[in-house]
Amino acid sequence: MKKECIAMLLAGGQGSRLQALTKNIAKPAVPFGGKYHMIDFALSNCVNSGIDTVGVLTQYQPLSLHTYLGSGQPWDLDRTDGGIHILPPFVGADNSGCWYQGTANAIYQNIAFMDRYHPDYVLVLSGDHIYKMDYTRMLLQHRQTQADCTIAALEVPPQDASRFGILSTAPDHQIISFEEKPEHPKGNLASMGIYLFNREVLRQHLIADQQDSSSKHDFGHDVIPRMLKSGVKLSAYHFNGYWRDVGTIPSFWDANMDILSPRSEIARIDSNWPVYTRSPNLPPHYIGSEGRVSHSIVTGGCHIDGTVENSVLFHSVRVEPGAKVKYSILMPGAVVRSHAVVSYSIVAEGAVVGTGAQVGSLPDGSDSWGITIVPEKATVKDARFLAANTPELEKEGVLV
Amino acid sequence: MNQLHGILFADRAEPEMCILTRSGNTSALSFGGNFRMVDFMLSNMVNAGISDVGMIVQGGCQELLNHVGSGKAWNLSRKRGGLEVLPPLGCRPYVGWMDALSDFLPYLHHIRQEYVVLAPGDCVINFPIDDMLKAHKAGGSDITLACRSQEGHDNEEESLEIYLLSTSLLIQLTERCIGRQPSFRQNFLDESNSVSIKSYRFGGFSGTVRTAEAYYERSMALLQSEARKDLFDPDRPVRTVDSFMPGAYYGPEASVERSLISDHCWIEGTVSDSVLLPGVTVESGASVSHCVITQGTVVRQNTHLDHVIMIGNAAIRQPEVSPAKV
Repeated sequence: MKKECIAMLLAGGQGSRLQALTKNIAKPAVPFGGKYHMIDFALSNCVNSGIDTVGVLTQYQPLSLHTYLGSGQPWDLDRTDGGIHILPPFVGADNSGCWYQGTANAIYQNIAFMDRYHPDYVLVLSGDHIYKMDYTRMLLQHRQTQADCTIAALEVPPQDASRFGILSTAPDHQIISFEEKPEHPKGNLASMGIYLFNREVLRQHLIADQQDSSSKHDFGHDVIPRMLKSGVKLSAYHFNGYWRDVGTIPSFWDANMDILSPRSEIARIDSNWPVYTRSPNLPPHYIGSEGRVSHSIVTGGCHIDGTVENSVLFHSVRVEPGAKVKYSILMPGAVVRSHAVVSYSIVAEGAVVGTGAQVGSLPDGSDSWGITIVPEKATVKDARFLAANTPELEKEGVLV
Repeated sequence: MNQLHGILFADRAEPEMCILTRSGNTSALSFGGNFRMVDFMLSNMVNAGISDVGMIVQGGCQELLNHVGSGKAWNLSRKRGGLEVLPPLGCRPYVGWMDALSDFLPYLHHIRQEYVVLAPGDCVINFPIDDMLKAHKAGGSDITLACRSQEGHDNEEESLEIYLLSTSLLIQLTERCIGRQPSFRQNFLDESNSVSIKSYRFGGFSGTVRTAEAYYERSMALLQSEARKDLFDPDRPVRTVDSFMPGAYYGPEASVERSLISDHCWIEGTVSDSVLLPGVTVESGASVSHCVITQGTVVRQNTHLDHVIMIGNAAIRQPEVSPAKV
């Protein structure tokens, strides 16, 4: 069964900078935007772009992610030919196979999967980016430029450029230089970590990279620079839409707040480009007599009797009378008891903020200020005050 | 193997309901958020452990069939058994349940289970069919009929039209009724010298929705938290087809109180004592009070709605009544 293009979706990372949010689940499984999980965006982009064969490479704490993905049915990827394939690390005969050692090594170990479908093109994606993209346009440019590899790129604020792989290009989109996380960036055109390869070129370079013991087996750090050096034709596909790599708590919080903007691409359904998700069947949410909700997103099963402003509420959240929630993210099943105040915080799944407790603090411009996280299933004691740098916060399920 | 087989009557169409659902099919009505009426009884059957369900439909049921599909959302898409849609053999509407069943005698003969539950597809209720089966087996009657118990009216029972009986008895009764096109209720239940009937009382939230008034009243009743607790019991979940709608958005000036708001609503105006189905927009300066607004309706700026069911541009006026009883 031949496919023109298949996708390899990297979903194995821990996302350790998301701290307590990824203690028990892989980063792509982290809830986002009130209704979604991070991986929904890449999966939906694939199916909307006509890519019906997606390998999802998992490794870190995969149980929630595997359960969530199931047979791929919510994303229309439950297919008899192709569809979603979950690809965890594995062992083979003669001690072959091992834990994935880097993004390139993960794909290298799954060359056999790719070969099953004899694709002309392989699209390498990340499972933790928030964006909507039609990959067929990238493929069109890839063909037109006769590139061996096309990298999707977008302009980032110059002050952020050092966090990315920075590209410079010729007028015909050909990539002239590529520097991974440069201290002094030459420009601000950043790699999005979305790569489209001709399969043979990818295979050759994965094998060569595997044989290089000094390599970290990372696309951005090793494979792409080697390709550029060896004369592989690399092309940049300029992307103009909304894109976020939500790898840190501040960027995660920012991206959730972004969907509160009426102009957000993510907030409204676009029938031409839906974002599919698996979500529980729940009744509509209820706003009580004393409930006050403004500039927020609220989802099914919530019961609001307090004040909610500038916040994102996932399903089954309870906000009791007198409670105030501002500039915060409340994950599924979170409870904010009477007269508690939650601001600039993330309350993780099933966590409880006790009566009269105060969680989070207003930004004060200092380096020590941060978004406060109440970990999964933790309980904040009544009347307790909690801010981002309180040490006990890292303990889950414990009265803090 | 489970002892109980389900037969769901989703064939009823009411002309008055055509404004709410194209075919007027009461089982296809959207209700209580992202749900359709048929979801409740299908979920009741599945929650009772039923894995084989026959669904009786009439012509013009495309909307219902598109929603139910293979029954996968209720785990009824099976290799063996599962959901079977029983489309009409002729063109005329069924006169009653017996009329419908007599078209499907071969189906009845193939039922593998010892007992059958017959239920309507337009009743909103979270009903313990498994408990009713226990009561039926212990009760010793030929048929058990679920009834709504009324507070303070011990002798008055309103039928919920949920019947439980043995498969063999159902086949006998159906064979006896062929050609006579009777109503299950009128023709042989009233001839109760031939079969014994016991009632199974149910006091939770329930409602059969066949008129606009009932639709409004039962929707409003969901504003009571006891009603929602009852109907949306997480231990006996109401399942429906997955949707991929984002959450509801509240603008900076939104004001909502004592209301149920579904996903994908966009609220910039004022809403009180109302039920909004998915995808409703309430623009800035608009106000909605004591209304049921159906999916996708846009309430434009400076529109003021009070005591109506709003369907797109059409409004069905509702009388002002005291708060609905659960």
